[in-house]
Amino acid sequence: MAAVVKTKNAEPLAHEWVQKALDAAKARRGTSAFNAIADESRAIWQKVLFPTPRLEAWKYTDTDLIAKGDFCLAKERAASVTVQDIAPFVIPDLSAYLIVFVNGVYCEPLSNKEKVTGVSVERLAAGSAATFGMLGQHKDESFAALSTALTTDAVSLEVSRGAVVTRPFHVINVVTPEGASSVIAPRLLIKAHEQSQVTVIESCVSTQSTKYLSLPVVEISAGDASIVDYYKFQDESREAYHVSSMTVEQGRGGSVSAHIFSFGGALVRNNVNNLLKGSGAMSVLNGLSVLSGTQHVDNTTLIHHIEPTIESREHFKGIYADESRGVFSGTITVDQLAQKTNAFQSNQALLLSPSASIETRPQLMIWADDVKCTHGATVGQLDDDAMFYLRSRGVGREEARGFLIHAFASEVLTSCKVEPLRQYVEAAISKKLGVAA
Amino acid sequence: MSSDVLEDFTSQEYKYGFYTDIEAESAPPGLSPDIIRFISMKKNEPEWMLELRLKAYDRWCTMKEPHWAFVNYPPIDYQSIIYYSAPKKNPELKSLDEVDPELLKTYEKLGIPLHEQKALSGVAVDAVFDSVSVVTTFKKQLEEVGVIFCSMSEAIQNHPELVKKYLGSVVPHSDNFYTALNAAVFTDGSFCYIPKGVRCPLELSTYFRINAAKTGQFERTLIIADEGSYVSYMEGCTAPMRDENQLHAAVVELVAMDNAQIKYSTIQNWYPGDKEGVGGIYNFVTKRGLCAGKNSKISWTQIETGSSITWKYPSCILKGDNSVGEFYSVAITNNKQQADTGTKMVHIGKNTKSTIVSKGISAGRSQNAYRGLVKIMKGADGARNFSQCDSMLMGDQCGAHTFPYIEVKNPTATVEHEASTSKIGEDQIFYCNQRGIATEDAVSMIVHGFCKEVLIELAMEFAVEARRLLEISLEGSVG
Repeated sequence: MAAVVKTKNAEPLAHEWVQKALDAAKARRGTSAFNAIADESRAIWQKVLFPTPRLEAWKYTDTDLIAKGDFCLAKERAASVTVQDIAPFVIPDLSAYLIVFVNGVYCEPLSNKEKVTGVSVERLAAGSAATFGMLGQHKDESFAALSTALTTDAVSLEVSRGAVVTRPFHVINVVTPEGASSVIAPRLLIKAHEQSQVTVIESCVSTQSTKYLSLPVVEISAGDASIVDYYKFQDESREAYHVSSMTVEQGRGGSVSAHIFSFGGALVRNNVNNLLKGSGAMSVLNGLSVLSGTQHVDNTTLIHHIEPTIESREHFKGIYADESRGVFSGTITVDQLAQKTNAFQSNQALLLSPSASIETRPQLMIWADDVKCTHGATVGQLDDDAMFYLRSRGVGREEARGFLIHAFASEVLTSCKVEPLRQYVEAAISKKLGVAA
Repeated sequence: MSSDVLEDFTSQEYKYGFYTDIEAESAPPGLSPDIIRFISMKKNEPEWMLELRLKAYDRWCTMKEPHWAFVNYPPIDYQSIIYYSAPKKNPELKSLDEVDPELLKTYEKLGIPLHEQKALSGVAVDAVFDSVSVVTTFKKQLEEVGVIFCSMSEAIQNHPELVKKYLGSVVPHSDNFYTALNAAVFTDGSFCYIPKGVRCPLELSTYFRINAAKTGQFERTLIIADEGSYVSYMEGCTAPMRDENQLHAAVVELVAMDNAQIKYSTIQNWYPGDKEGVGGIYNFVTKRGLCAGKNSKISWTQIETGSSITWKYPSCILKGDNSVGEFYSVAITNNKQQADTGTKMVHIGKNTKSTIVSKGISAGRSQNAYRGLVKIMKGADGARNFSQCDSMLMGDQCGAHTFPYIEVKNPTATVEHEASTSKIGEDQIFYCNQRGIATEDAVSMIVHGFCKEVLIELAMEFAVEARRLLEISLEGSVG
């Protein structure tokens, strides 16, 4: 991403809070193996600072409110959080291995203690030597650099060769009122070796309406012929800022799917980079944003076809009510070597209110000649004819509206392989928009 | 597929690359208020025009060259460009006979019928040579119906009220770096006014030719279609082969009132540089049409084959209710050409409609990008847009890129965007070969089929030229 190249004339004092938080994070890490990469990230961050809308990659999302936010590093010891507190975020019938972070700090009592065959779960704060930062997002994105420099704890899941993990992992990043005005940098590394299979669900949630800044970084390294399914469910406080960075590196013949469900937050930006490095691989990247009020969600994705004969499918949908604003910037890059690429991208927006707005940039950059690449974007409202059809068959207005909204979302949801999660997301849509399930 | 045939098909040389040795009067290179005064004085302009130019120059000095386009070129030294160059001529030409015969020969070589008796095609032509309009044909016939078609310099002298009212009303000098430069130094261009209710009886056409070395061409075109009128305007461009890069920064403004319709066709065939990318024209053009009135319509059709770098976005501002904007484009890049072209459709009025059909063909080691903006403003109830951009790649050294921007602020709008990338399939060629069609004919057929939706939009007179140009531009590139 080009975001790093330019700098702005920032008055160093304006981001005093950032420096304080960075110092605090460093002190908390102590002598960690992670320090080298954190220091490097800090140096990168000092050069680029917060991006401005003058940068093409940030044209539609202004981070000024974040820069002026005055956040501090979350307290090291969170108040006791009980099972009841996190109950609403536990997906019914999922029976997952739970990993819980409260205000960015690992919560041992609530997390899974069971030994999972074929998976080694490591924590940064526990002195893990896991290769955090291996995909190098901190070198390309300003917020990823900031997040890396602020990291005090993280979790890595390493799935050994040939291991098939049947139960999903569920990482819950919850922010309590104690985390108000804090900045958290959750970090997750999924390293799936050859022929392994794992499903990871990450929830970014908060118990109450508080203002904070969350900068999650996710790294997924999928080995040859591995199957990795990653789902992110984000339903944070309406005052929260959320800037995430996810990088996927995929080997030969594997299949990686990532789903991003955005419901909460005041300002949300998801940066996704899919580096398709193994021929014969299949990559799926789907997203669903359901917004209301004055929420702003920006999904910026890059699907980079590096090797030949890879298929990628990207499908982002958005439902925008009230004065919400959606942004989608999706780039597909096909390198000269990546012949026989099959790339498909689509972005569809449903505007439910006259004040909602969307900006979409589906971009193709193609250097190979034997490829099939298509992208499509549509923007519209609920179809009057469909509405009429339903109403003339005795379906009430609200119910019909619910039908159509769920039908719109279903295209993204049907590719969700975890049925309890799919139902959980469906319920979240109904709840958020006040429509029939 | 036999790549030799395809190689041949895309490597034909630029055939308009000759140079006319004609006496020219030029300003010294460089840009300063003095040069602007010089240009203004040469053109015998009124005081207000000079003021406009100087204002634009001041603004230009504060602006930075834009670099967001997907093109690469060494920095341009704006002080080494000659901003004014004109064929030396007797002042006050009475008729075509007085035009320098060398000049007429040039246009004949280009196949532009300047002689009225020869002009069977029935096209009124305004020919711009370097910076100055040479001749405008069919003036009388146009005057009878009240159409004003003349060079911009004449318009400034004879129709100052119209020029004052509309010049810069669609593309203000402060719009971007190149419009400011153009507003400061533009030398000539075409001016056209179609009065109320008149359907212009002829196709109007301007032919631009850059001839002198080291010059930049900065023309300015203004077309006003008053209520209920119709005009079809065509523009063609060529330049000699030189191994330096020449700058062409034009501004075109269109204004369509209630129920008026403007159809603007361009065949851009500036010298594209040689195979190694040496020389060629930098074509940095701002074209914009304003659908000011109800039910007005502006349609842009362009065939872009020339220029080493193209940076061009003919746009429509759909202000009047029910107004319609259309953009049909074929952009072909070969060798080391770079094109970043597309359109902007800004929907302001209710029930406005826009259609974008863009076909990009890249061959050789060229880069071809589509960049387009569709913006639906809050008040644009019921706005509709359909965009389609297809790319075809010939060879594995070239690139095809698509950068659409869609901004919607009204839920009743319907916006659709589709894009695809493909190549000429071996099975397609095989199918044709089997039926006795030679490979090169097959390639030509497929390319024409690919561009068909755009070619049918072209004015008749241009269609033939466009077809020929397609074949020439692509020779030797299919592989």
